[in-house]
Amino acid sequence: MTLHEDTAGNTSFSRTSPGLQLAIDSTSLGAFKTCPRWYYYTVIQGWESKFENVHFVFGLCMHEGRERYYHARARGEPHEEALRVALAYVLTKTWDTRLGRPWISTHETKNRLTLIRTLIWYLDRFGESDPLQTIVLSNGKPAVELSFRFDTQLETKGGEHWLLCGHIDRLGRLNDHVYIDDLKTTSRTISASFFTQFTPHNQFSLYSIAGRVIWHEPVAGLIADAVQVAVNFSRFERAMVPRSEPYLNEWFNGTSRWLQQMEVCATAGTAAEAAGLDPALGWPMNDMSCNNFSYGDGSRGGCPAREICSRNPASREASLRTEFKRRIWDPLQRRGDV
Amino acid sequence: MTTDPGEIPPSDALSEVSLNSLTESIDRFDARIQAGTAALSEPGARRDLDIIIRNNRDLRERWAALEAASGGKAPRAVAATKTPLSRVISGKLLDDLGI
Repeated sequence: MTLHEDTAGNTSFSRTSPGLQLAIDSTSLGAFKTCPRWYYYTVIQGWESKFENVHFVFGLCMHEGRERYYHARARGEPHEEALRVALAYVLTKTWDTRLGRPWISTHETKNRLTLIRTLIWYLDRFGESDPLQTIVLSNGKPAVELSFRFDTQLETKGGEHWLLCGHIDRLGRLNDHVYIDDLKTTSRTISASFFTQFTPHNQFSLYSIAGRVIWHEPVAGLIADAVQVAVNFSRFERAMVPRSEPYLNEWFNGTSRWLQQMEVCATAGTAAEAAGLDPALGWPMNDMSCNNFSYGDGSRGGCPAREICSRNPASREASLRTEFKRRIWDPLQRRGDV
Repeated sequence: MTTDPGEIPPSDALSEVSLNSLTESIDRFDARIQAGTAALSEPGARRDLDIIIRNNRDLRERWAALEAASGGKAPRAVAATKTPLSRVISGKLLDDLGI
């Protein structure tokens, strides 16, 4: 497929500059920072592993269960009823009516039983008596799973503007200050060192900037809401993740450099394609990242595309088709439509 | 005191019986999902959810007691909330067969 065909169904890409993404979220930016070739495979071409990412499924269910709880509470439901709503949702979401069986996870700690336990324990701990109270928007809905986008005012060579976008888990008020609350599920022990991974951190810096741009009140900061999922228990800890104004200015300036690099790659990929070569050549491999890939639970290991990149260029496309499946990663698609 | 079907008997700690009761209570609600009677407006749906919630709260209290007895360290429990092996095997095979 050509660059144009690869991105035709993705609204976050330029229609005039093939391969140039204009609406960037932390996943897209993080993929490019990790390795431009990884970004090309997963965002431009849309490849993802055929094997289920249990961390993604578990985390998504926790987020969506929690979201249902907050919506029920915002409607005036008491804690017990809101908990039933959240639990019923997660049980239903993790049941396959076509196959007549539940979601099967072979992961020792992240499976359906621990998901149900973690959701109940979490909402019992932070539902009714959470000092960080969920903000209710003017439309009566809770400020959860909020999709955002804003114009960076940074211009491409073609005069188009880059947008930064994403989805904030929750806006809450604590001691008269507004905070962004981001839920992280992990199998790791939550200690002080667990939270150090969030500074520097691509996603949290973006969210911290977004909070200052999209909300009408000053956002005091970001709170990492950590959930440890073990075989026999779940444990919860929270920590502030500070971002000063100078720090965010530095991150934003750095991001403008990264966006320029993304345009350089798109231009090179287009030129390669026009010359009858593989457009992937526009996005070089970062071979220092192959064995230092960051997974969804904070652990690190081999890049999922390492086997692909290890092969001769001529055989990579066939290998991708065999070992991966396609999906569209479009940061402009909204979430939180409960 | 009698217990609801699928509810953990009060005399049990984190044992195999607790695990069976927990999975049984979830199985009951799963049967509702499959039958299309899982909505909260359906008779008995809330009760089935409450049993699941109660079981998990019970596990939490017992775990906290074991942890306290171990001096704050996470104790080794008799049973673990792992997906039953038979389900894992059958589920994986079903995945491979595309069933």
